[in-house]
Amino acid sequence: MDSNRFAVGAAIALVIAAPAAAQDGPLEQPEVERVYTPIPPERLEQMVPKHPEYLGALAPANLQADRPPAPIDLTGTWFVDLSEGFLHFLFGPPYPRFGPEGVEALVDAAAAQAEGRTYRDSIGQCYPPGMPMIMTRVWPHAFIQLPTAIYMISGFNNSVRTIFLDGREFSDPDLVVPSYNGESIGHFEGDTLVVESRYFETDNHWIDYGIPISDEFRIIERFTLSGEDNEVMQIEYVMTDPQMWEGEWRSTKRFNRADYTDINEANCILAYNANLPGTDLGSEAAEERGQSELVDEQGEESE
Amino acid sequence: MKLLKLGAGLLALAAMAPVPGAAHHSYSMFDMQRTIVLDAEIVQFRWSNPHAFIRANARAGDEVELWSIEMTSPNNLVQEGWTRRTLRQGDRVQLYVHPLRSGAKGGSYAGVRLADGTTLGEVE
Repeated sequence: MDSNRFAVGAAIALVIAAPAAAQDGPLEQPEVERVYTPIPPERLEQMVPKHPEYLGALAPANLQADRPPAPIDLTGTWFVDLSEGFLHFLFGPPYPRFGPEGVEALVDAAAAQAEGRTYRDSIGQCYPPGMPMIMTRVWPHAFIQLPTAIYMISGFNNSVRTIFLDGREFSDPDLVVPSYNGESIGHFEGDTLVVESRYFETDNHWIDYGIPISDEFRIIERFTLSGEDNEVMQIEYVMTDPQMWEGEWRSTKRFNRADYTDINEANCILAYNANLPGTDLGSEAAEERGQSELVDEQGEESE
Repeated sequence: MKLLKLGAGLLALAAMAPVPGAAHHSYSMFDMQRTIVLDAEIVQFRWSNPHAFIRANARAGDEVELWSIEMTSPNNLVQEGWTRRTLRQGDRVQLYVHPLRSGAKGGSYAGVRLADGTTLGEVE
């Protein structure tokens, strides 16, 4: 029996039955009694996740360790710069030469667009956008930079990403749990923060409109600050995936400080998405309600 | 430009609409070139992230159709004057909507004319 099952088993609640007889008026609140069984220390120890070889990024001993000061501080709230066009939230074109899966995605996405259909609407089904798309959601991102890590929280569904700066190595590939934002480790080269990310979850993880990735997907990002008050952050992306495209897929994004906003709680709730006709679920729900009587002025049914 | 109407209860407009600011998925299923106006009674107004939404009964001639209207995020809506109390169940309003291209009963919010004549969003 693993530790979590042990904990659940020990915490079973016993409800003392309330009077069962039917009666008028409000229900009588039942007495609740729980049986608390002490958990052995070794079981407790197993409950706490740990990587015994190195300290966590928020461990005081790690935060206070002797290391050079960071040359730039990315702490702030940032919003992607779409001043040159909304579609700059996408990472291409230019695109690399894709393999058959990527080519198929380009063709099918264009067909879906022309027909007014969604294509690989995974976000509408509450899958995380993942890297790199989470960075260019039209929502602010909070960056909190510490000596050991940068914590990034997106306004879009509170997606969390951590860039570790404490000199750790990437996790053992046989132990790591793949994730949509991947595992990110950074270091400074002059005034540039260079970050490598790997170990991405590939299920329903797309770039732009449905371009797939494999488990060989890697991203190198180069973060720089500019402006009188460091109000502009630029990120150069170099993305590689030998299974999915040839060479490097490059893109550069700029972000501006958004000093008059904060990150609030935001959750993807599937049941609500049935009311969003822009998602597959919402579109299907609308179809189930039948066609509207939309007609043009000549009385013909609209397309 | 194509003018549209929905039975007796709809006006017809056409407009170039911007892509919703907080869109988190494709808007290709909406006809963003057209705006229709629903004479609507509010069934539900949900003020939530990442998208607010409206469910409303729209009059279409002698019929009543239940529509779902996708909105952008409250953060964006606040900037055009919305609050979480702007709509209540039973309110009668005119909803300006970019309809689904499929013709099904759903759309993307463009604007609203409230019962007192106040307007929010794009209503022209």
